[in-house]
Amino acid sequence: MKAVKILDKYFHIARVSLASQLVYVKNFFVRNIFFVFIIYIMLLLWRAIYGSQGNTIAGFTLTQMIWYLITTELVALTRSNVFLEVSEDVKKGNIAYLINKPYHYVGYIFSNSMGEVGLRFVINGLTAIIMGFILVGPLEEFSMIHLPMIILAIILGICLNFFIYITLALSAFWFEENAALSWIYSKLIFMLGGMLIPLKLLPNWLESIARYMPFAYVTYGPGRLAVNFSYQQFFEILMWQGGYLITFVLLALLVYRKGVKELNVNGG
Amino acid sequence: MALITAKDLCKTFQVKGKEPGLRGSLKAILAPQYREVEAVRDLNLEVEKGEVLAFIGPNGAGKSTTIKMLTGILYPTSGEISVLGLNPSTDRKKLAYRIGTVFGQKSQLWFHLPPLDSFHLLGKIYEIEAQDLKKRIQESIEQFDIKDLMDVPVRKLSLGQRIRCEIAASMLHRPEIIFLDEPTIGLDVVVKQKIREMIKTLSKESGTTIFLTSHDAGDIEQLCKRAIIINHGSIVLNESVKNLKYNYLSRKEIDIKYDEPVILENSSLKVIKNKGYGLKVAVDSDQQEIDQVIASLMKLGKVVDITISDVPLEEIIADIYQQQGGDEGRENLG
Repeated sequence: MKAVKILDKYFHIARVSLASQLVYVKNFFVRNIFFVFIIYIMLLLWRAIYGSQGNTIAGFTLTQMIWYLITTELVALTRSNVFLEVSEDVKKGNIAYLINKPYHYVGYIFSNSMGEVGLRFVINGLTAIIMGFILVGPLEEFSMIHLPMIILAIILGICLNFFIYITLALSAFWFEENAALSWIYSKLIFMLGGMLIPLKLLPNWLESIARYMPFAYVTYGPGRLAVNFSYQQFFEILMWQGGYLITFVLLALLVYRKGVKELNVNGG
Repeated sequence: MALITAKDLCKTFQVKGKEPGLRGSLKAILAPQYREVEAVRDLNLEVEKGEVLAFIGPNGAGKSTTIKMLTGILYPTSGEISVLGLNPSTDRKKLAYRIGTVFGQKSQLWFHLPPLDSFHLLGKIYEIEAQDLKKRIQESIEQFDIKDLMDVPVRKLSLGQRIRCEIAASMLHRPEIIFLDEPTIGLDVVVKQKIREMIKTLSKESGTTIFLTSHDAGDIEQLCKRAIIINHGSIVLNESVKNLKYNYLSRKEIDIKYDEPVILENSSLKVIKNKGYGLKVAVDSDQQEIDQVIASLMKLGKVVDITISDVPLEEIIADIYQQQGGDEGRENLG
């Protein structure tokens, strides 16, 4: 009974956040222009590369490559501004007015972000599908049966991304300026996460390192499943995603717990 | 039994110091220097059940820091706190169910949504049964006269309307203690009065213990029975508002107007203002006979108008800051 109430609490926070975000819904569509633009540039780039290199690169056809990039971009773009929000909350002392209620701050921020992320996921997801069909057409060996599992991997990627960001953001308890962490992380997602190019195109030694890192399971995992699904790979990626998700949830909670004792809020 | 007790409470902040200029910035990178700031030092206080207490002090006196420690947001550097028998630092969540907070400068309502949405969310957060919540919202709407505001997005409410909703929101879970941090800041006179009425009703009807900080002497005068004045992190006065006024009641101000310019020769009078035609003097009736002072003022010329009034509470408090505020207070006077 108690557990139901607690779940209900966080679910309701997400719901109210979603209601609040709907005020900005036009804004979301405008931001999608960026998504479309990036993918279009990628298409031109890869079309040129495929033109000189042949039909497959790293085992991907051009259609697969574009769907792969659409999926990785979808995961990376479907996020809230959690890093900035949490860092500012901590630095400016706003956090003082958020932690005096009977909920866990990290849980609150997660629910709050999920309202926004959920809406963004629907809008970005639709954009991704429409764009894929228009630019390169459907994937050849795609089966609708796999779709729920691909979506699960995408959602886990989005959640993992969220908890890595919040863990980094909570470092604001100790550092006055922590924006560099977010910058470095986003570049690691770019390269080691396979957002820009599939991991197979990296030098062998780097690829084998990247496969053990959490970044690959934010973007590369879901992207790979989307274009080249196999059950064996699905379970393998799921294990990695689950493992890293638990790790970063625990890490975020730990950092918060240590950090909140250091909290300094002057005046107000 | 006291609901809130604080014993030898201290809070020290580490502040990174930096000398001015580029050289100072470089130095701060190589050898950062930390300065300790004592925001609160050796603070002792007790608040009884049902009491309405004013916690007052100038900016930076340590008011907010104290409230934040009492509500569990900040960890004290040393000392003990007990609020409703709980230790706020370790039982913050447990305590949160039983206390309410309103920060005049920070909203707990969702900016883009009507207050009713926030009320429902708070109902979930505080785990209030749906039926109870419905009843309580209805009661609040009537009690605080906010029926028309319930479906207007918060961003479109005026500050006074918003504060009324904030207070209603913080009462939904029926807290035993409510902390009001500057609830009337930035409000005009009429709205201020309305908020004060609200707080009065709250204390009378539900017996909620109220811990209030304010800059406004009117809030204190009208709402509180006891005032604690804090400056530079320590309590300088802890007294009933009645006593506070009584002790200073011997001080009067006489405002007198003549129909021609007068020259004041009696130097024993403390002149506040002298504009030739008009004169304003302060008298302490313990030290000077009022009738003699008035008589001597009457002799100066033909009197057109005369007003004798008590010193406003605001000035009494300012006086206390300066008298008892330690060296810095005196420097300011200087």
